[in-house]
Parts: sequence; structure tokens; C-alpha cells
Amino acid sequence: MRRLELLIPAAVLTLVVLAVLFAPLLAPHQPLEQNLDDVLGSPSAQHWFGTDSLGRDILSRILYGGRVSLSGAAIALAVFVALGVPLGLWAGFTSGPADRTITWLADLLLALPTVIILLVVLAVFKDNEVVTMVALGVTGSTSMIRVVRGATKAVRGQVFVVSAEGAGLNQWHILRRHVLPHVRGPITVQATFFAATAVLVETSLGFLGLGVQAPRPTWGNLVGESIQQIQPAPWFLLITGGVVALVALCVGLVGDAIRDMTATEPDLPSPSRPARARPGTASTSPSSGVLALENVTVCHGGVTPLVTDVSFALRAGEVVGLVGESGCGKSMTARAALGLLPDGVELVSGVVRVDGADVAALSSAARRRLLGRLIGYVPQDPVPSLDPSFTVGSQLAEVVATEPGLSRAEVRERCADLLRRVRVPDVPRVLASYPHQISGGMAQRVNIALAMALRPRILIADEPTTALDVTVQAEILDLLRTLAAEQDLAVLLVTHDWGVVADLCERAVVMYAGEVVEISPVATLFARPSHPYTRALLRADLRGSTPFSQLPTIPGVVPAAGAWAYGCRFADRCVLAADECRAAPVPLRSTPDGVARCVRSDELQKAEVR
Amino acid sequence: MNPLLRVHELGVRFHMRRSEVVAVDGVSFEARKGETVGIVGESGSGKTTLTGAVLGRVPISCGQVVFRGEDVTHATPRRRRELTAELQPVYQDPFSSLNPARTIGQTLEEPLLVHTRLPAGRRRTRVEAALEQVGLSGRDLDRLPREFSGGQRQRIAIARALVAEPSLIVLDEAVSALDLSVQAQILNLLLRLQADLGLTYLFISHDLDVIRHVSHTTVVMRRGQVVEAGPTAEIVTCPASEYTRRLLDSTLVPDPELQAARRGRVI
Ligand SMILES: Nc1ncnc2c1ncn2[C@@H]1O[C@H](COP(=O)(O)OP(=O)(O)O)[C@@H](O)[C@H]1O
Ligand code: SF4
Ligand SMILES: [Mg+2]
Repeated sequence: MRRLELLIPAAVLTLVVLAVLFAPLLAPHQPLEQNLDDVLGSPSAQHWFGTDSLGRDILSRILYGGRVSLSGAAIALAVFVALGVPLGLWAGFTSGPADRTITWLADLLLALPTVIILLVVLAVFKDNEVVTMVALGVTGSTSMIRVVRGATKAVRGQVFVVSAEGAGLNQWHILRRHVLPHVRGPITVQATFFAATAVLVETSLGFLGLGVQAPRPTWGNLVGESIQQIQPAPWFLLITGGVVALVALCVGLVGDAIRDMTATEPDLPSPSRPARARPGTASTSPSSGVLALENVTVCHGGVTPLVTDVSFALRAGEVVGLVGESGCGKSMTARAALGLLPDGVELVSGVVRVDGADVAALSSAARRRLLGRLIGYVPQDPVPSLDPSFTVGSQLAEVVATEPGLSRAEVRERCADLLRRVRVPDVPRVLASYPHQISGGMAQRVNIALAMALRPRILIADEPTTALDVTVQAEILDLLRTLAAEQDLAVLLVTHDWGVVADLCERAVVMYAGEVVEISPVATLFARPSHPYTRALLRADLRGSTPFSQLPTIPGVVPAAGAWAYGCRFADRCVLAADECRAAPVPLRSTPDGVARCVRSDELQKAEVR
Repeated sequence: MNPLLRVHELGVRFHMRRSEVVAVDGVSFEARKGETVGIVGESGSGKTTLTGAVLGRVPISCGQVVFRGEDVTHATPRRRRELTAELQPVYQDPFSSLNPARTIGQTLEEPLLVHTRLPAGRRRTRVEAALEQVGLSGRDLDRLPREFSGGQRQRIAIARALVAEPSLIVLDEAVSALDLSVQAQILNLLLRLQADLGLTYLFISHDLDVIRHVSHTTVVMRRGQVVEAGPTAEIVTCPASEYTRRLLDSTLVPDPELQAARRGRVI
């Protein structure tokens, strides 16, 4: 689909350019060859596009005219790129005097009206096409400079560029190897759009009788002529105008296609901000919990299992931790609960119940409408999760206003109230701030406010304090604790920090290799873990270690999704592994106050083996 | 014995349009060879700016950075480039600190291209050796960063620092983005490398628990200034400042009962 959007206009353009290039071979007639016996002839076998007022073959004139017009546009484009890219890179890469000077010059150039500059150049240089097109390239290059400068600055901030600098690489090397490849997209897009503009400007000048003069054909003066003949020969304008429009359109389409292809996709659509959702009602039926996952299995591409047979439930007001190493399926489980699985990943079996209603069975549109109202989502990275180009107030208002029938004043009051509820101290200031103007802790409060905006029953938070300072983390955890208690909110907290589990959670669900390996109340979990994985992970915690000592680790790595052993998936890394562990898949078994997936739980409890 | 690195009354100011930000203000500390100086503080406390100044990436407004007895505060760009072989950084994010488009071999070779004139074969041997030092293998040379897990990528980042055979490595939140078990593995690796190679670390972290585990001396920073500094054992057991105490109290303990009891102490 996307490829066609690029291929078709690109193919048309290539054909036009080739035809123009080989005009002397392809043109059926000489462009200046008159035939006063056949003026303004309609399209015919002899003259496919008809003839003009002097009986010249229009097709031939268009082919030859294209040589002037397209080479003019090419000159302007060359100047535009040759000037814009290096200056933009330079400005973006070396903040300081060079940046300021280049930006200032670009701003100055931008302030001058292009048309007047071109008219002056035409007058001074006596209709010299080349000089005019160079001037067009120079004036246009300001936009290229700005775009490249911005893109370069963005890439320059990336840690990998910073580390390249740390390695002592010279700037030229970094620019060429690390920066240029990442700004190629915007450069290409900018260049194609300018090419379209250049074709149009070139023809407009010809149309106004400026630049290359008749009888030598250019697309511009052909359009000019054809307009004078619109009464007797309307097809003339249709054809000449059509060619110019077609070329400009195709160049633009190529630019669009490239932009779409290079644009980055958002990672996880934030369910707390559904697009203009209407209120939905979920049919409720009594059930064990406000959120329940029942035998949820999630696959990638229909074959590779990412999460298998996960079941657990959250009661209202309860905070449950979802724990495990990276790659064990915590986030995928959370996404399944949110109904927001990434592309190519789907729930192949199992049920997700919110208030007893099976939300997984809903169409994705219906589910999206419910999200935000039933489940709020708090992301890990507070600042990047907010849109940098809008104030906190407008982002909150956007969500709040999805509730119908609120006046603007009510929306504003609701936003302020939300921020007060997440204990933002200076509400008016924060409402008026852009995300980069507030601290990470404040941004996380804003994210929680956004998640709470539609008064959900459930909050799913994926590592909500990982990116925060300890003192701020303590505050955010306190806030979540209060919200859960006061508003009877069920909170599913994805975390890899045992400290967070100990601080906030009542129960923990431990995941390993895509499945639940233990569910226990935290007091039991910390004191007497029922699964060797839980115990190993607890021991890897450096809190309580002897300084400078080698810490206990878990040998090996988490197996890749689907590359799991037939028997116990933890067997390769487990100190207690025995033959019986590998013989068959291990089912979840009841423990005194939870479940665990280990055939040797008893041994674990008995022997304090390492 | 002279310290390997001495930072004396260091100040870094950034000039904004109208105002001036004092990011680092009169910071002094010393790092002895083979030891670790932990620098702990919350975001915005000036840790990154401080390491930038030490690495010569941020202009120093006042004070001194002395490396091996040489005042490198205002080293020439050429001298700076030479020094980068001695002073290597490792950053937090193993995902973005490696160029996704370059193989591990290409990335690890870069410091050698800059600092040495080794022929290709010898460069490869050095790179392979560095990979083995961090627990990876020479077979990984032609793979791309995305083929590695977070922990492996951080190992690669450490290998990149090791390739130049530095004496001081600046670890800026180098284990902060990692899983618990992986964090333990990387810390074990760093401690082992320090013991084997006599490396000196400047270990930046917001995590007092990590600092306590790896640092011989600790510098607590806040708003660009040193709140307190001294032997780590003293700082974590009887902090002199109210701020350090608050940091200590805010850290979480993996024990529900203890944590519930501690919660009340945080203001
Ligand atoms: N390039 C800069 N321009 C202006 N201010 C800066 C710049 N870099 C850092 N700062 C400011 O310096 C202070 C310390 O920042 P930083 O060194 O990044 O601390 P940390 O590493 O502890 O997060 C902060 O107030 C920050 O806003
Ligand atoms: S079943 Fe066996 S291998 Fe698996 S966790 Fe239990 S003891 Fe270890
Ligand atoms: Mg920092």
C-alpha cells in the first residue's frame, strides 16, 4: 500500500523526466517548426496534443519546454540542498556563534519576500534563467536550514551521539556517521517539497512572460500562450496546465510518501487519552474482582507465544505488583489487560473482565471507547509521555472534554481539581506549563491526573517511579496508595523493584518466561517465597549486601519468547532443578495462601539451599 | 600517594538569555587509583554536568581538574582527545548509547581508530579481548545492538570503554536502567574489572543503595553543591546532613514490615 503511494508518482515522474531528456529523439516535430496551414489544430494522429497558433506541434514544444523548466527547477533544488543541508547541520551541531549567525541570516532571508527578490534578479540579470533559479534556491534554503538544524539538534541530544563524542571522535566523523543518517528523512522530504515549488515558480515566471522568452518554449510560456487561446482551443491549456500540475503533484506525492515512511510510529497509544470518546457502559456482572484475567494467552504473529495462561484478579482498592525480569511478559500482560496490544500481537485465548464484563470480546473500537473510563494508564517515562507542543492544561482538557455536556469553565475547573487531587502544589502554574518546564515528578503527577481524568476503576502503572528520584518516588508511591484507598481504585503496578512491592503492594504476581510462577501476599513472598525464581530474584537485590561483595545472580538469561523448555521453564537456571522438573509442564499449585508453579516447593521451604 | 583525579573548587555556569544557571558550585573531591568515588544526588543536582566537566565536555567556569598531576582544566582540544583514551564514559541507557546502525565491532573499534594506529588485525584482537573481558565473545562482533539484551548492551558499552585501556571510567547511572539480576551481574563485573585492572571509577547514581555497594568514598550533591563527602561507610551509617538523612530514609527496603515502619519517617 505504502509502496504503491511512492512507486506510482515516482514512476510517472521518471517517465516525464526521461521523455524531456530524450526530447530530440522522441519529439515528432521540431519545436519551432511552423505550419500556418494547421493552426490550433485539435489533437490528431499527426499531432497528439494538437498545434498552437503558429501551427507548431504542442507535444514537441512541451517536451523541449520541459528541458528549460525542469533544468531550472533542478538548479534551484541543487542550490537549495547544497546551501541548506551543510548550513543546517553546522548550525544544529555547533550551538554557539555559528548557530546564532546562521539562524539570524536564515531569519533575515525569510523576512524578505521571495517574489520581489526574483523580480529584481530578473530585471538586473535580463531574464537570465540560471541566475533566477539560483536566487530561488538561496531564498528557499532557509526552510531547509531550519529543518535540518532542528533534526540535527534532536539527534545530537541522543545518547549515542553523546557517547560517540565521549569516545573522542572528531566532529566531522560524528556528523557523517552518526548524525547524517538520522536526518536523511527530513532532508529528502524537504527537498521534494521544494522541487514541487520550484517547478511551479519556474512556470509561473514563464507564464508572466519573464525568464526564457518565446519562441523558445518553456512550460511557463506555453501555459501563458495557451491561456490566450482558451476560446478557440481549450485543450491547449488543459494539456500544458495538466503537465505542470501532474509533475508538481507527483513530486508532492513522493514527498508525502517518503515523509510517511520515515515518520516514527508512536510506541504505545495512551489509553488514558482516547480520541474524543463517548461514554460507554459495560454490562456488569458480579465477579471476583474489578479486573480479572482468566487464562490469557497472547501470541505474536499468531504463532509465537509471549504470555501463556495468565490468570489473576484485582479487587477494588487493592494494589497488586506484577514482578519479574525484563522480557518475562509483564508489560504484555498489562497491555492485554488494557486491550492495547501492539501490532501483530493478539489475545489468542482467555478472557479479560472489567467489572465482570468481557472486554477482550469487544471490538477494538468499542474497547477503546471504554478505556480511560474503566482503566487508566500511567506510563514509565513521565516527560516523554506528554506531548511537548501542548501545555499540561490543554492536554488535560482534551481528555476531560471527552465527557459530553461540560462547559469550558467546567472543563477548566475539572482540570485544576484533577491536579489538586494528585497534590500538585502550584496548580495554575503547572496548568500553563509545557511538559519540558516541569520536573519529572510533576510530570508523573500530571500523567496520573490524565489517567484519573475519566474516573476509572482501575489504574495500570508500568514502572511508574523507575525514572524518578527517590524522594519523588516516595511521594508518588504515597499518592498511589492514597488514591487506591480513598477512591477504591484497583492498581496493577508493573515493577522490577522489590522495594516498591514491599512499600505499596498487598499481593504480588511473579512472572517468568511468559507465565505466572507465583502469586502470594507480600508478607509471605518476602519471608518464604514458594518459587525458586522468586527467591533468586529477591537475593539478587543488593540492599542488605556486604559492600564490594559479589552479589548472588541468576545464571543464564531469560529465554526468548517461545523458546521455552517443555517442562519447567526455569529449570536451566534453577539451583533445585531435578529430572522431575523437566519431565512435563509444571502446573500452578496451591500454597497456603497463594499459588506457585514448582514441583519442589516443599524442598525449597525445607532446605535453605543456595 | 597522589590521587589519580583531583577536582578542586570546580564551578560550571551556563549562561542563559537573561539568567545564569550555576550547575556546579565549588565542588571538590579526590579519586585514588583503584578506588571508586560515588557521586549521589537527585536529578538536577549537577552530577551529569560535573562528569561533563571532568570529561572536558562542558566548559569549566572556575576551579581545577587535575588528572595524574596534570592540570587539565583548560586542556587544548588535541590534549583533550588524547585524554579521552584515559577517561572513558559509560552512560545509563544501553539502548540508545550504541548506534543502532553499526555493528558491535564497528562501534568498539572507533576508540582505536582515534587513539592508535593499529592495523586492522590487531584492532580486531583488542576488540575481541575487550568483549571477552565483559563476558561476551568475539563471535558477537558482527551483530547489531538490537540483537542484544539490555544487560548485554551495557556489557558492550563497558567493553567500548575498556578498548582504549583507560585508567578512569566515568559511570553515569550505568546500572540504573537494568533489571535487578542484571544489575547485580553488571556490578559484579565492574567490581571484578576494578580488582583485575586497577581501574578507578567515578560512579554517578541517584541510587544510594548502589553507591553504598560500590563506592569507597561518597560525595552527596544537591543543587550543584557538595552536601557532604567522606568514606561511604560513615555517610550511610551516620550522615552529617539532614539532606543525606532524607535520601537514606527515602530509599526503599525490600521488606514489607520494615518498609511500613520506615514510611512514617519520610517527610
Ligand atoms: N546546557 C545547559 N544549559 C542550562 N542549564 C543546564 C544545562 N545543563 C544542565 N543545566 C542545569 O544544571 C543543573 C544540573 O543539571 P545536571 O548536571 O543535568 O544534573 P543531574 O545530572 O544531577 O541530573 C540543572 O539545574 C540543569 O537544569
Ligand atoms: S520445578 Fe524444578 S526447576 Fe522448576 S522451579 Fe521448581 S525446582 Fe526449579
Ligand atoms: Mg543526570
